Amino acid sequence: MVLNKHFLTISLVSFIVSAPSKADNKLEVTPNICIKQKTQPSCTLISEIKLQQPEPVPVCFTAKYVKHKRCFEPKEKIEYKTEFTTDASFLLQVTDEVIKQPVAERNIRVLRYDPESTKVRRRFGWGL
Amino acid sequence: MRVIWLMLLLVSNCGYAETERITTDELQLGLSIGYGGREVPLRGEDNIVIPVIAHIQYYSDDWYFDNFSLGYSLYENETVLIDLVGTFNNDVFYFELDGITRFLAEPTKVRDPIRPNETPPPDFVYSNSIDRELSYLGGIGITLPFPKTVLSAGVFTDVSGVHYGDEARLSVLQEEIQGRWQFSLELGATYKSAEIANYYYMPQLGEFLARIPQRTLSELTNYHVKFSTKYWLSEQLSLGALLSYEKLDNELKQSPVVDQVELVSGFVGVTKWF
Repeated sequence: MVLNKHFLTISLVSFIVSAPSKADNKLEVTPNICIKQKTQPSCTLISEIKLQQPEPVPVCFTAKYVKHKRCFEPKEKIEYKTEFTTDASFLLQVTDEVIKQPVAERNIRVLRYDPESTKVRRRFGWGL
Repeated sequence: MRVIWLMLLLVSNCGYAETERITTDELQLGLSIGYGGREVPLRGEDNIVIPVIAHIQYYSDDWYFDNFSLGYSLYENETVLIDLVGTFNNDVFYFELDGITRFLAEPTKVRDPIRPNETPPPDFVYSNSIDRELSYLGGIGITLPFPKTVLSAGVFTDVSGVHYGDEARLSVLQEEIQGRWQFSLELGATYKSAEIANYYYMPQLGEFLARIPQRTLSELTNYHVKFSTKYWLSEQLSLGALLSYEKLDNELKQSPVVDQVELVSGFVGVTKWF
């Protein structure tokens, strides 16, 4: 795999994970992992987001850390693509706009990767 | 951040292995500035105030230097690392060193003599200044990096000819990263042979100005628990706090220079990596 020196988006394994849903809402974010190299301030991820609801209700998808917000009219199945640029892991939350309660959420992970040689830190030194 | 957190993806829906790794062939220098302190077990000594902590790390393919421990890798794979290790004996931390008063720490007062108009406590024994030499230990260290957990163990002996004692250490470090937050919890035990116990914690000839019962300490097993948290503001800058509790072996209650065996230390501050 060629690692781009600038913002790097690696879709690792298509890691489709069902969200810890409330009331059987099923949230999928693919991919949900972003790899950031040591020299980069952030990484960019283009994710496909799918929500399956038991009943059609208006919902909003929000991720405060990356200032993301998308709202949808009542539909059983909602799908959209979006781009996240982030320097740290964050939570994408789905809120039922009728009851104003979160109904599903998914963690978007940022992994730091350094292709240079590294060593596991030893802990025989002096410290508090 | 100079310390690289290489997060290895596990075949799991909920977990990631997070092992602290250091880039090789780069000198890593860090400085923590804030307010901290360490309780001292020695009778009549005030607690140590620590405004600054230095971090120095250098790792090459075979050699490493990490906060005054020096190591050479004998065997290394993904699950086990075996090193030749040299490290300080940390009992000297409580004593004054030649020309340096408590390494990397600022004492509040050196000794706390009884004031002339005060009656000394019943167990007070007049003494000269108690100084101990810095000793360096050499031995074998083993590091086992499990997912989210690092097990470290080592057996060491005095290679500086100060007390000819032995020490063994075992610690388990649990690490967690949540976004910009980093948490770690360490539990550990340290065995010290009687030579170390008697050199550092029993009076030497001429130190005490009154006759005290002659006694010899046996070996020690000390335990500690350490919790630390950091919030990374940027790649080089973090806010952090550390709290540590150490329970020294009750055998030290037999020592006339020790008046407490439960020690708390902590630090709150900002750390900059250069």
